[in-house]
Amino acid sequence: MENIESGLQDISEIRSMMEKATKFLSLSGLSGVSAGVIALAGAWVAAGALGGSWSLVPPAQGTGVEGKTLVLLVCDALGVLVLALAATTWFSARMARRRGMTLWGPTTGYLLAALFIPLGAGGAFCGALMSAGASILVPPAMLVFYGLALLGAGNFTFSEVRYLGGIDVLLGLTAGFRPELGLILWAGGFGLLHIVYGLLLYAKYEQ
Amino acid sequence: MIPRVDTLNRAFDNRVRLAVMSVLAVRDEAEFNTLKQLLGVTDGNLATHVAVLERHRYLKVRKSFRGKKPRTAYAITETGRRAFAEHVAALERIIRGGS
Repeated sequence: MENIESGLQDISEIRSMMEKATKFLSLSGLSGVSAGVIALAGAWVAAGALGGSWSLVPPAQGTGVEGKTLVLLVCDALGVLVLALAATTWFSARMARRRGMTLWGPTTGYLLAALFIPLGAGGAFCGALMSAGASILVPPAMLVFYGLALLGAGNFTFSEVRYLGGIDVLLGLTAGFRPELGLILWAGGFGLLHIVYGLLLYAKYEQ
Repeated sequence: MIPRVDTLNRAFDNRVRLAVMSVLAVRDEAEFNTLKQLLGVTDGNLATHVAVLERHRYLKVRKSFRGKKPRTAYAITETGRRAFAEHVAALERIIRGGS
C-alpha cells in the first residue's frame, strides 16, 4: 500500500516538473481582462475616426480607408498593442512574484518566440495589405494571425488559450469574407473574448 | 506480469534526481541555474545529484562560454531516456498492480 502511495506521488511530481519546465504559468487572467478593455477602447476610437460607424465600407463601394484616417487608425492599433503588452507584463510580473518566481523564467523565451514570430509576420502582412490599398482586410488579418499565434503559444502556457486562438481565427476568417463586419468582429475577438477568457483563467488559477 | 519493486531504478528514488530527469525529458537542454530555479534546491545539493546521474551516463554535460561567463548545460542521453521511461512504466505497474 505504501508503494502505491509513493508511486502516485512520484508520478505527480514528474508531471508537475515537466509542466513547470515547459510552460509559462504566470500569465495572469487579469492581463487578459485589461487587454480586452484596452482593445474595446481602441475599437471605439477607431469607430469614431471612421465617422462614428461600426460598419466598414467595402472597397467596391469606396476607395477604402486612406490618408490621415489610415494613419490615425494605425496609431490607434499600435497604441492598443503597446498598452495591452504593458498591462500583460505588469499583471504577469505580479503573479510571478506571488508564486515566488520571476517574470523571466526558464520558459519565458519559449512563449515569447511562439507568440511573436507569427505576430511579427502578421504585422508585416498588415503593412502589405495597406500598401496594396486593401486596408479593409487588416482587421481580419490581425484576428487570424493573432489566433494562430495563440494556437502555438498554448503549448507553452495554459492550454486554454488555444481555444481563444481558435475562435479568433474563425472570427478573422468570417471578417475576411464579410469585411464590413471587420471592426465589430475585431472588437469581439480582441475585446470581449479577452475579457471573458481572462475572467475564466482568473477564476480557475488565481482564486 | 507480477510487478516487482526492484524494477524501479534506484538512481531515481531521490526527489531531486527524479525532478532533474523529468525536466530533461521534455527540454532539449537545461542550464544549471535553470534546473536550480525549477527545483528550488541549493547549488551543492543539485551538483551532487547531477553528478550521480552523470556517473550513470543518464545525462551529458555541455560546457561553453557566454561572453566570459562559463555556462553549464545538461541534456538527457539515450540511456537516460530509456532508463527514465522504464522507471515510469514500473511506477505505473505498481500503481495498477496494487502490490
